[in-house]
Amino acid sequence: MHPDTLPGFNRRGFLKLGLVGSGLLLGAGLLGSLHGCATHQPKTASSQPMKVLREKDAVILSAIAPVVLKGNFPTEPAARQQALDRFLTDIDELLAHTSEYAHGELAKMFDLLYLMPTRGLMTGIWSDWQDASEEDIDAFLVDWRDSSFNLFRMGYAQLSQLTCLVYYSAPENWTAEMYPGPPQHIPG
Amino acid sequence: MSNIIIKDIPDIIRQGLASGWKTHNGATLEQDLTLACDVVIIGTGAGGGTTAEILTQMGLSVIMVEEGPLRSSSDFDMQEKRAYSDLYQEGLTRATSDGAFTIMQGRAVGGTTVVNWTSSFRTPPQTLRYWTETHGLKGFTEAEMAPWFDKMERRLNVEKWAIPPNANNSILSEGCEKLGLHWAVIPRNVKGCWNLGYCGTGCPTNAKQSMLVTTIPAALNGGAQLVYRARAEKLLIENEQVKGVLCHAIADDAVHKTGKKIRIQARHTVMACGGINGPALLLRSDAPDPHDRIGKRTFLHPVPGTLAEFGHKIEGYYGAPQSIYSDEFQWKDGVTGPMGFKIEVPPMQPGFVATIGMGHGQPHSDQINRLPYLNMMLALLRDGFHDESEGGSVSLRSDGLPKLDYPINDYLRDGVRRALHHMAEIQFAAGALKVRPIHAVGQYNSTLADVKKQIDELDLEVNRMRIGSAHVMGGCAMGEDVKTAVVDSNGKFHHLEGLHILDGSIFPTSIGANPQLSIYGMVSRAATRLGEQLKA
Repeated sequence: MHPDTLPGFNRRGFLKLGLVGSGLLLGAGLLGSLHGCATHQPKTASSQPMKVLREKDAVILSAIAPVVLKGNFPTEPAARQQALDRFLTDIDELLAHTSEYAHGELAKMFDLLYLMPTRGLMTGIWSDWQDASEEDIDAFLVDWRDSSFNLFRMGYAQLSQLTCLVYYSAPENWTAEMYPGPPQHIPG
Repeated sequence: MSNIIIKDIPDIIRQGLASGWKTHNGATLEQDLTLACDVVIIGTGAGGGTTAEILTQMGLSVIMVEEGPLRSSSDFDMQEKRAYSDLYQEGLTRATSDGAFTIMQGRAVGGTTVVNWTSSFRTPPQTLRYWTETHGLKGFTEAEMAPWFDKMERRLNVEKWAIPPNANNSILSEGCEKLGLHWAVIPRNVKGCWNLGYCGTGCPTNAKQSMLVTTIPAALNGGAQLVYRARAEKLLIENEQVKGVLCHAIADDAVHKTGKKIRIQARHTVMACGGINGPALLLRSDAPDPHDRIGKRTFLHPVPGTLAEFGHKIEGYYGAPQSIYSDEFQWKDGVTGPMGFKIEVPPMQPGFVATIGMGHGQPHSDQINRLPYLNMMLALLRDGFHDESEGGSVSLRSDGLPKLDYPINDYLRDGVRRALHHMAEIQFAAGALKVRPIHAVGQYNSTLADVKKQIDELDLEVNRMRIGSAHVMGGCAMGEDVKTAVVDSNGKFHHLEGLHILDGSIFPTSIGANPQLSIYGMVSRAATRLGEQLKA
């Protein structure tokens, strides 16, 4: 049965999250371990291994970041890939300086966002992340933003804020109209 | 890029190291380290730096301990990308447990003074009176504190900013002027400031008189030692006497323990590690707490904000970040009435504005693309002066590191809503084309009436509104009553010998102003007394 026809789902197939949904998010760690988390480390453009992000985390972020940054994220394929590689390297570097606890919490969230059926139930995205449409990802972000459950609103804030912090702190992403950059610094 | 070039700045840290300062970098330790001294000071921010200089000058042997890295003007390249992960607690991702607050706190030798925006206010007389009358503090009258503020103002070159404010700050003075509201110039702790605007990423010219370039070099020149990349794990407690501290060496990522340990034995221990890490250290150490006061009443100066777009360039990323403030709404409803607040503006670098601004997608991108035309206004809400403002509480996470719970209630929401109203009004009075409350679904309105209506209808639930904090205070409150306080009016821990806490964590409420000078003044007096006792 297609999720649209199941009771409790809205037209996008997003479970109107109640205790079940937030319980899923809380229980993410257990679920992740039952399914055997992928531990394969993705590589950056410079083929350095990532410090914190796992391959599935990179897949999810690669789908979400261009939607969060819509309008400013490059659309031409080569430029887009380059921007994505840089973004993943930069967010990995920032996360590497947070805490082991934060690494664990993020991994739990990404586990849920990666696996089925939790991904579909929590986000309304039933396809693989690589195949999800921009509209579906935007709808998921809006659902989390406007959720009556703080866990989802917190997830939205974390995903959108981390993405913006990393992207707009990188000099490559400034345009002359947005920010001319700091003075030139020649270390003493 | 700005056409200013910063070069040939003498690097006083590297010069000091070359001159033979005694320092130990935990990240590169090859074996465990044991040190001994008269006084170990845990934390090198406003409290720790001030204490280190005073005690060293009194002839005591001092060791300073810092979790973060030792950086200097050569490292401070004004890039947010590097500064946030390197110089801020948890790489700028520190938050309250429900995610409601983003907490900006420094993590480097010099603590938050390395990255603060230099605003230097004496503790308001209303706050001092409230502490004296309600919390029973001794020695905190305005007259008793004045000489200590005066001393630290001279030490750190605190003066009202004499250069015209940047356009971002001018919006606050112009708007207030049009509306007949109070505004004034902010005193700053700078010497030879270049008016660049990058206080928040570490001062590249050494103009900011942070602990990193003042008291800490003075202490090191006087023979004190510095251990950095070292996280205080537990106080060494024997027979109700604190005998020093055990630390874990921390790797260069600021996260992982290297496995090496640093044991520092001391006649006396001073904690100056802030309102979150400090209570956590006491909890990890099983310090006696018969009345369950450790980590309670942690205050944050909750900060809501509004964004405004103007028809002319403001370029709020350049120029002294904070030079104008308004106290119009700070005390007018009484010290203990509805929550009062101070209005200021922040620096407008893109990573900070994009993140704090909330939102995603095309509207968010459209907003950040107008960055040169944007003004942000902030209100620092004065928490802790009312029965319904008990602040937060610190406990330990599963990994032994601190967690802060700070419940949001209607008393606070009322303050947030009033602050949003007044800030929007000031921005429109200064000529804003449109104003937007910072909120997950906050929209721009082009009239004051419309934005006020929007603000009235906003759902101020956690993680819908965005609240920030750059001021962590309390958690180890001062007071003479052991049932309600952790330390006495001089910062001595009530339930153990050999331990003082000398930093913003001992404030019994928030301040009602950016807290650094409150810490300097209070700590300079308490550290002087402690030194006299230890020398006796």
